[in-house]
Amino acid sequence: MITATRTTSQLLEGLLDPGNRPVWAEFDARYRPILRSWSLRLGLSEADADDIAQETLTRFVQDYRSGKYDPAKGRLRAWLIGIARYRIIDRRRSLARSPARVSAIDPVAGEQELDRVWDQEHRAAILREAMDRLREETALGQSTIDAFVRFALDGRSAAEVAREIGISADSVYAAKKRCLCRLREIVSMLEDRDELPSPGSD
Amino acid sequence: MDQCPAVAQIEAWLALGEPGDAVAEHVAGCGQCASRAADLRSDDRLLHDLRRAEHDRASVVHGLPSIGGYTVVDRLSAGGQGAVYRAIQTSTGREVAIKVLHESVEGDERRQIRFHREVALISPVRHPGIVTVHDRGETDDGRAYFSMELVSGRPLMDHVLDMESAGVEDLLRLFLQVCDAVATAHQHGVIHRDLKPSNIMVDLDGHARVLDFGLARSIDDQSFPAVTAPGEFAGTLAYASPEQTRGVPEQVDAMTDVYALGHILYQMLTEEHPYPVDGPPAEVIRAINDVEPRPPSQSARGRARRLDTDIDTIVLRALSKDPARRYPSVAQLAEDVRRRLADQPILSRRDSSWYVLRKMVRRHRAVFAVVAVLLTALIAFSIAVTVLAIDLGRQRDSARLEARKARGVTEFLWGLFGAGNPERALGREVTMRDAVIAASERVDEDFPEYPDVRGAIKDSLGLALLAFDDLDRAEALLGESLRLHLDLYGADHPTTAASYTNLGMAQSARGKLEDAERSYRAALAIYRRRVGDRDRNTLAVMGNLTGVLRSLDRPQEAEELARETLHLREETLGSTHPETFDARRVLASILWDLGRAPEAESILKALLADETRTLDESHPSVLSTVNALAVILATQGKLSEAEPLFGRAVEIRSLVRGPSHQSTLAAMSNLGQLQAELGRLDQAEHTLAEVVRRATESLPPEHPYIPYFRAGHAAVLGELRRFDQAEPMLLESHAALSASLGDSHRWTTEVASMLADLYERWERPTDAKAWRDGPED
Repeated sequence: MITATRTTSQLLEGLLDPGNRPVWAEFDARYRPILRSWSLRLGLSEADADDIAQETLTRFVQDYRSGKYDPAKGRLRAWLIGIARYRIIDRRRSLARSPARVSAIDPVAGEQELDRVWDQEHRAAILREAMDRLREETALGQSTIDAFVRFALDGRSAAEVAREIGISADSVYAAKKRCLCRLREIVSMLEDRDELPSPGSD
Repeated sequence: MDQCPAVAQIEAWLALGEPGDAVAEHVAGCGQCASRAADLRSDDRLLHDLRRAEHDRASVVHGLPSIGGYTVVDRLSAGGQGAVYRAIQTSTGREVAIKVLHESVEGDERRQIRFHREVALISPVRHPGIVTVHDRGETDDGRAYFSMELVSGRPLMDHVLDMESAGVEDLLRLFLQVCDAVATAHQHGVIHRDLKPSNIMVDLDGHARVLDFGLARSIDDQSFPAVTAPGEFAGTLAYASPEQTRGVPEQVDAMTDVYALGHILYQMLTEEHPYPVDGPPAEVIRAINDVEPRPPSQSARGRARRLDTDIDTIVLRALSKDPARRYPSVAQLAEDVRRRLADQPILSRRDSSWYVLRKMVRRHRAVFAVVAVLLTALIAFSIAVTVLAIDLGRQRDSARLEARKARGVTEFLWGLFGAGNPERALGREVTMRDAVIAASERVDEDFPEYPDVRGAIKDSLGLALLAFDDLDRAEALLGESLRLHLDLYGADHPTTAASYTNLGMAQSARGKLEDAERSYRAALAIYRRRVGDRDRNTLAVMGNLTGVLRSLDRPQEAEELARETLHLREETLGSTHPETFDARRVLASILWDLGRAPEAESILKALLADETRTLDESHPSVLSTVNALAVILATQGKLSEAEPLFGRAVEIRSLVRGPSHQSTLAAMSNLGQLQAELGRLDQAEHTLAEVVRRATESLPPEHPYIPYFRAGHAAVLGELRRFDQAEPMLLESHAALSASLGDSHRWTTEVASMLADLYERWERPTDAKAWRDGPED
């Protein structure tokens, strides 16, 4: 499931062409999950989160094609949050009229909080993608990745994992080291991909 | 340890080790191992984030579970342990909430039995604060669930954050509801084990309802899950007690709930955690076990400023690391909260006589007004001593010695009055300063075997003397305290740093600036190492040091430090906190010192805009900024820009200190002079006449402000060529000033030259010359 890797700048360039379906699909795949988990994290229901993600992406592409968003002038994150936030406030107003809600968290936190949650979800998305890519890597070998997941992620003991997979405990430690090292490379590549290199971005 | 430890040993030390152990010592001295430890730490962080991301994927992607006997409608929330769904029970048609745990209990009989037992225990308990549990079972894919009453409301902290106008008492009452619910469960033998704000809902009527009694944890093999288990991130770990982090099930009992309640109350009052809980599990566990929470009243956020020592005592006792030092039951914790609400002495410190006295003072404020100042100082240092006693108590584990010490300190405090009864002090000429001096002379005699107590008391008395401007004594006393603390705690302890800071303040007040700089730098180095750059103590010392560097005429160094202070305050307190505002103003003043007026001006303008937006106009911070900006503008010749600021300063002063207060009149007089300089003479005349009118009305008749203001008014009349009116006013003012202040006083000579100006304008050169050369005989 390794997808083609275009940088965010390349994606934005491609988006200007309404007929470029693959670019739209990739942009959608990259930002929809973040928008969705960001909304969930702010306490919205899944249905609401789906709507917010959909509306925000659609609106963004409209704004972008009409020239309202200039990647050289501002962060993509800020622009997307701006659109999403407005929609959340809207939704919240209509919710206020039906007060019997369970566990509805105040969805409009301070701007710093919105940014922080976004960064957290963005990182989580990158980490998930990195894990997916790691699982696809044939160079490492399936048992190495298995050992890493069971030992380092599931928190089982090295001896136990070694027994299950049929390797030595030392190999379990080595697997953790190799996978972490490779993960760092993948994560840093994905982070570079999502950066906008123009002067107004950071 | 001479040989390098194995990687596993370093890992173990990182997760749980004590600062003083052999691995720590080795790592500190071995570059290779130190870098290995750093790598492991960063691995830890990456893994922590990875687990969290992977877990979220699981919970976000999951669709609705299928559960026999129910129709699941939608998901209400998701958390570290499981998700909560809204469902309809098919047989009854009633709406319920169902919590489905991530972990499966299938195939583990022991867990199943425990889970079922807990449901059986809590189901029959009926209490308005406990969310009723109906049923339990397994979903079709083998995950454990239980169904409960569906509560409309929202999680505790969301409710608290919205209660902006609510007072501390309202929060305490809400908290009491939680305590009562937990206490009732305890009576039925059910311990919650996982109390946290997200497990407490506040319903639409504002009642607190506690969820998940005993259930969430019952499926775990241990009392607390291994912290590396997937999905166990800070959200759950944050509220764990020290004994839970040690994973010894037998130690987890009702005391664990007392601890969590302490944590929750801390968070309700301050909107922050008692220690950092955001890091990777190993760091959070260390914080839970090692970081002493600072008293809630010293927090920078929430309602901290409205908290008192009773609340500090209640919260900190509930949060004791050692279960034996906590409240022995939730009911007793609730009792103290109730007592605090009724303004009765809390039980936690009932035996201390000075404390009862303070309660008395609170109820008979008027009678004690005279000794109020003295009491304030006493309270301050009693807290210091109490906190110290608690500290030492932990280190030495000898409660009896501490009790004796505390009694000694109490008696010593009473001695300050010269009698057991403070009311008697009212009739005697015991000034607070005399009392403090007398006390300082007795400290060594009274506590020969307790250098720690001597140090704490000398510190407090030294600060009191500093406040009375008895600088020599203050410096001597604070110096002695520093030496005691150096002996006791060494040169790298926060208490020693506090002593250095206090001594620095005394030295700076005495003008011994180089000494003060040395003291502050010593304090700063310790604080940076021990509590970090963001601690408020560190920031306070940085502020002091900045002031000393300015006085030493080293503005470049001052600027650098001021910028760092500002940066840190912005990060820790936010950009609109009053202390951040102060830091911005200080930076502007330093830039002005450096002759960079335009930079200073733009900082002050932005600052004033922010202050106007976030602070009350009467906040002292606003006035300071208005004044500073007005002066900077005026000295740059931007008079018309400065004028409205002078006007605003007048308004603020009359708001805060009254329309006829001296400082208001002085500000108004400045405004009038400025209007005159701008050539708006009629307006200036009007302003200055009003100043004179108010001054004559409110000040004593012989006050030199009256003739001085009149002269100012007359000078403007002269410029308006109303010479006949101006002349007698100036002559009378001059005579009055000369009589009260003398001929050589600046004001007297200033009025003389006003007379000379008047005669020149009037074309009476002889008179002008006479006043120019010196007053008439």
